[in-house]
Order: sequence, then structure tokens, then C-alpha cells
Amino acid sequence: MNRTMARNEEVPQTPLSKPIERGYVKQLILDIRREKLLYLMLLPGILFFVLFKYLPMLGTVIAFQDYQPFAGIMKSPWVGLKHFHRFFTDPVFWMLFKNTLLLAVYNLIFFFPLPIILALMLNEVRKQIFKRFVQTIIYIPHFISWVVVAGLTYTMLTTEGGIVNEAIASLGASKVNFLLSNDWFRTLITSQVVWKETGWGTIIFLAALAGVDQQLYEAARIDGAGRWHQLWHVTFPAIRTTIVLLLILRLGSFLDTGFEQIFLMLNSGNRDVGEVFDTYVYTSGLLNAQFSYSTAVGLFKSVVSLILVISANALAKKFGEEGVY
Amino acid sequence: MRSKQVYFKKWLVPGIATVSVFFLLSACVGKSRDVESGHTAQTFKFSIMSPFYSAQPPETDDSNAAFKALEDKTGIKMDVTFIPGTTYNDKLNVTLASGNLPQVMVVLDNKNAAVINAIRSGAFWEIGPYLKEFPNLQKYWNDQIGDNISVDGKIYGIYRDRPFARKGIIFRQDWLDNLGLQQPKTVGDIYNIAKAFTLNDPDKNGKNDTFGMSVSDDNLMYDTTVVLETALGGFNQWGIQDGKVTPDFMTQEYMGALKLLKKMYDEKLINRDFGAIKGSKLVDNINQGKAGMYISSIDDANTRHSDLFKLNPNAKIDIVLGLQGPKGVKLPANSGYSGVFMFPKSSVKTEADLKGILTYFDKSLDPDVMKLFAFGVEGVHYKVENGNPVFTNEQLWKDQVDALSQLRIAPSDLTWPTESELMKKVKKLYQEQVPNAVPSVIEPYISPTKAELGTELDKMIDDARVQFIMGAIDETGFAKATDEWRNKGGDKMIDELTQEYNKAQK
Repeated sequence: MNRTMARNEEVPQTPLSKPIERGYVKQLILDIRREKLLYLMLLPGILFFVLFKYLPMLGTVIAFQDYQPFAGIMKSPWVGLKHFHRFFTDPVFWMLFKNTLLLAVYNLIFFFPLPIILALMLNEVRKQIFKRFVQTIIYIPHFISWVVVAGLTYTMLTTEGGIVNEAIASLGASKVNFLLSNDWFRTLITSQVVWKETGWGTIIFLAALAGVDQQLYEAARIDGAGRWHQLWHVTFPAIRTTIVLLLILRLGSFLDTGFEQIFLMLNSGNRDVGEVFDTYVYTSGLLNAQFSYSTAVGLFKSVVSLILVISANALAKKFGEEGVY
Repeated sequence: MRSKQVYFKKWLVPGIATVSVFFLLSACVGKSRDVESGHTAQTFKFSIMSPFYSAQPPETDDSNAAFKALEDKTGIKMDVTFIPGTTYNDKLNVTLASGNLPQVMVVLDNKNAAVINAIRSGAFWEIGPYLKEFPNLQKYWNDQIGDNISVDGKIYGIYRDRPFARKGIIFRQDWLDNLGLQQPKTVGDIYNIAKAFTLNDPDKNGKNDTFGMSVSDDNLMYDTTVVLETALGGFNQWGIQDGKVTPDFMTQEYMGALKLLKKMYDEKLINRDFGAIKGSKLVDNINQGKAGMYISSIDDANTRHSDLFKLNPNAKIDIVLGLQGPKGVKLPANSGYSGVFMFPKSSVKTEADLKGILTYFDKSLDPDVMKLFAFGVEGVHYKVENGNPVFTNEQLWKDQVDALSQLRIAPSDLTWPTESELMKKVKKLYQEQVPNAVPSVIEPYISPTKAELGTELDKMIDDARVQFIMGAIDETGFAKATDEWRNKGGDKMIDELTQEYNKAQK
């Protein structure tokens, strides 16, 4: 809130008459002096990040301790890498790693392209009113909570009177226990994400599409490009940067498989493929109260995510795209 | 005009900045203001954290006549934080970790690692020595339950008394009558009745649309398996075998119960989605007229079937507590309590404060407070007719009085004269079956490994159990899961518990 306000404020253009070589800190002090108000407005934003993002990060040191709530961080004993060692040598680690990775890859392959395709299709719709209508309809699932989605999935797929299994049975085939099966779990999870988030995901792409210069289309048409060629040579390059940008951001949360969704779908029948880092941290950290151990697991996850973002960004730059920073 | 704008701009920016900083800071400060306690002239006030299981938590201000009467009668003011029962354990662990504790907290899982660590590091008041100063509490105290909640032989809380003998079979009596069958007496009867309920059209609608027994994931874990295995002569979760404390899943009786369930699953006598459902869906199967039987706390028969009677006014529910087996009539015993009220030293600063709080619990056992907890406030929730209490507003009673029951320690013996025959039978069976209830031998003991890894290890066995019943793994597969359990900490758990047990036997 505060940050956007700061950004929207008119910035008075006061170019330096002569670029002078100064140290970074000196320059900064000068800048601050000159733009007091702007920096003052930045303050709440900085405060927010320091208080709610950076200070709590200090708490991750408990990953290297045997944290006892009543002793506190200062008095808990240091144990070095004990928790990391336990985690990496536990066979559970590879199961979690595989499950998380596979779900993330499924998500990337089957979900990520869909909003782009949908946005491109919507962009080709001629009747504005029809386009608006469709847009509104496809946004709706995003606002339905995962609890409800899980409930719907159960009601449709259960073997006891679920509509899908009734249909299967009426065709003479034997019922499929979708909900308790290792084989169907990833399909279910990915389909739920596709159903819930595809429409919502189109928003950013549609915004990018709205910014494409209409003259380019005109020029293309004059050169004899059909609709398909226009799409490929004008529209697509125009939103390529946005796609790459979102892909990089997506990689940052690559290992966030969505705790709520998976936790709701998890049961004894599919835990072998369904248990992921997030649900494991919940069980060991909150239910078993192993604060240090689960912090270590969480920290590992964050480090992997950080590496993914940095490498994806570097890769994007190498291919001549903009990247996120 | 221009100057006005400049003036406006000049003040706008620092204004906004100041206001936002203020909000940010107040967000941080706001939290820590409430825990203050203390004696004032007349009213003593304390903060308390408790779970609730109703749809809405009861109001805890003057709009709730029952709560107001409770405060007046005990002479105490309470600042209650109600937390949904389903997420209570997480929330409690987070609260413990934060160190910002209420003065009284209900601890449901009082043998959990976080709680035990906290107790051992001296974070909670030991209340054992104070109990004798409070006549009601002293009378209330049961040494067996006291043992069960103790940590290192000391008492750190007041338990919430619940019946020992509670888990039995609930079934559709009208279905049994339709088929001319007797109520179940043995494990074999359970199977036969489930089969008849599935195949013989017990609801007489000419359609093959019923099944025998409703099972859900959590119900299988806490109720169904233990009721069947104890009836077969086995342990209630933990017992003694070859001089060692042994978990039930390493016994023949347990495998017997599991094989029976598998047979029932294979013959479609139980719902095939049992592993994927939790909570109220178990009873929905009964209430929708799909299934005819389930295993649970027998008081559920009285409280959870209003939907059934709406749909089918002719339905009849009955109960059986304890099944005949090779060792006679047996059933699993509960621990005798559900959660413990505990008092953190960080928020209850002085002995005087502690005694003030204990006074509340002592007074909550006074006859007129017990009556308040049972019936509510005369003129608001009930009126007296011919010397008997009669509801004036049952819904209000449920919302305001019944939901407050989490704040009391003893379930009331007082009954509505309008109480159903079924509930009277439930209460009678509670008493009758106590001698047949098999307790879990580890109840009073603590194993550090169990406290730390228990939930995680239990889950391995729970999963294997569901997979075995569904046929995803066979007996070898189940034995493999057991071995994994032992290797990952189970053996250590057994050793620790055996040691504690032997120590206590001397």
C-alpha cells in the first residue's frame, strides 16, 4: 500500500548538471538529503519488510539448535548441522524430494501453458461482450477455497455414489477408487489446479496483450499475414517477456506445492506419492513439535528455491530476455 | 490555489508516513497488552484458552446469560480464547513456541514432546500439593486418572473427567427387527449383521442400496480397530507381552481384527472409500440410510442422529457396549480424561494467582454451578415445571450452555427429566462396563522417543493398516511396515516404556 503510493508520486526531474564521481554512500546521503520526502515515504515500506520479513528470518537460526520454547533462542543448545544430517540421511527425504519435484513438473508442463493458450484464444474473440462474459466466468473458480474444491472432488469421485463412478459402473466397468489410489493422485492434484487457476492466470497475459501496438497488426495484414501468422509473429513475441518473467517467478515457488490442497487430498491410500515437503513440515513441525527439525527442512526448501530463481534469471538474460532483476 | 496545493502536498507526505508508521508499530505492540492479570478488590480475572467443538464458539460476554451467571457464581472474570477443536493441537504448539501464554490452557495431547519439555523445564505450575486446599477438587480427584496425567510422578494440571468405558457399537435396531436378527454379542455377530445389512435389504425398499458398517479413517484408528481387537482378547493399543511393553499391531489379535475388516471390505460390507473420509461423513452414512452400524463412543447414538430421524421418523437406534470373546466380555478403556487444564508460570506469576485460578475450578464443582452448566439459567434456557427443569429454548441452550462445557472439569450427573431412554441406557452402560474395560498399559508413562516421533511413526502404521484392508499390501507388507516402525524409533520406544513400566511395578 505504502510502497505503491511512493511509486505513483510525481518525481521531480532534477538531472545533475554534471555527473560527478562520488562514493556510493556519499551519493546516497546526498540523494536522501535532496529527496527527503520521497525517502520518508519509502520508510513505511522498508519498515514493513524489516519488521515482518527480515527480522523473522533471524529465527531460522533455530535450524542449527535444539530449540526449546521455554529456553528461547538465546539459551537453546547449538547442534550444528544435526538436523540437516538427519533429514538428508532419512529415506523420507528422497520420497519427499521425488514427490515434490514430480508434482512441480506436472504443474509446469500441464498447467503453466494453459493460461497463455486461453489468453491468446480470448484475445482472438471478436465480440467484446462475449469475451468479457467468458472472462468473468472463468475467474470464478479462483475464489472457491481449496476446502470446497476438495469436497467437490470427493463428492464426484467417491466410490459410494459419486457421479463419475456411477457412470463408470453403468457402463459395466468396475469402479475406480480415485481418492485412495497412488496412480491417480498427481492427476487429481494437477487437474484441480487447472480447474481452479487457469482462468485467473490469464489476467496478466491479457493485460500484456492489451498493450500490443495495433499498428503492428495492421502492418502485418498489409504484408499479407493471416490470423495465424499475426498470432505467431506479432502477438506471441509481444508477450514473450511476460511469459519468461512469470516462468522465473514460478520457479521461485517451484517447490511450494500448495500445502492446503495437498493436505486435504492426502490419505493413507496415497501418502506414498502425496507427501511433500510442506505437509511433512506440518506433521513433524507442528504436530510433533520438532521446531528445529522442521525449520531445517523449510530452510533447505528455501535455499533450493533461491538457487532456482537465480539460475532461471541468469538463463533468461543469456537468451536476451529481461529477467526479474 | 497553487499555494494551497503546495501546502497540501507539504503536509500530505509526512502525514501519510507518520500514520502508516504508527499503524505498523501499533500492530506489533497491540498483541502484548492483554495478559495482565491480578487481584482487584473483588473480582479475580484470568485468561484461558480452550477448544470448542460446536459450530460456533459460545459468546463470552454479557450477551450470554449462562456465561455471565458462571462469572457471577464463581466470582471470577474470564477472558476466553476459543479455538476450533480440529486445529487445537497445532495452535497449542505454536502458542507454546511463541512463549506468549494464557494463564490457563486446555492441553489435549498432554504427553506431546513440546508439552513435556515445557513441563520439565519448569514452565508449568505443579498443582499436586495445592489440591488438598480445595475440598471440591479433592473429592473430584481420582488417583488412577491422576496417575495417567502425571509427568515424572507429579501432577501438573486438572484433568477433565470423561467416562472410562465408552466405545461400543451403534446400530439400526429397526433394521435388525426387519431381518429378525439379535443385537451383536460377539465379533462374529458384527460380521454376520454387516453381511445381512448389505445383502438382505434391511430397509425393505426392494433395492440393493445398503451396506453393513460405516468406517472412516479417523474412526478406524481410534475406535473400530481397538473395539474389535480387545473383544478378540487383545490389547487396547499397548499391552504386556513376554515381559515387554508391546504395541497392539505386533499381536495376533490385532491381525485378527484387521483380517476381519479386510474380509468385510472385500465383500463390500464396509464403505470402500473409508480411507478417504473423516469426521462427520462417518455418521452421514448412517443418517442417509446407507449403512446400519458403526463403532464409536456410544453417546454418539444420542447426539449425532437428528438428521436420520428427520429423514426417517421410524428409524430406531440402539447400542451395545462390550463384546464377548475368548477372554469374556471386553472393550477398550479410555484414559478417563479428555485434556488437562494447565497453568504456565510465565503468565501465572504468583502462588496467590494460582490459588485464585484453582478457586474457579473448585467452585465450578459447586452444586449450583454444576446445575448451571447442565441446564443454564432459569427463565432464559429452562423453566421449572412440577419441580423438573424443562427447556424454554433448546437452541439457545445448545449455543450458550452446552458449548460452554469445555470450561468445566466434570461432566454433569444431572439429567433432564426429558432425557431419552437411549441416553439413560448410555449412562447405565458407562457404569456397568467399567470392570470389563481394558486399559492401555502405557497411559501413565512417558517415552521421550514416543513424545518426539510418535505422530510420525503412528502414521506409518495407520497407513499400512488402511492399505492392508484395501489389499494394497499383504501380511508381509504389513510386517515390513512394522519393521520400519521398529527401526525408526519403535524399538527404542518399547525399551523406554518397558523400563518405565518395570520401575512402576516395583
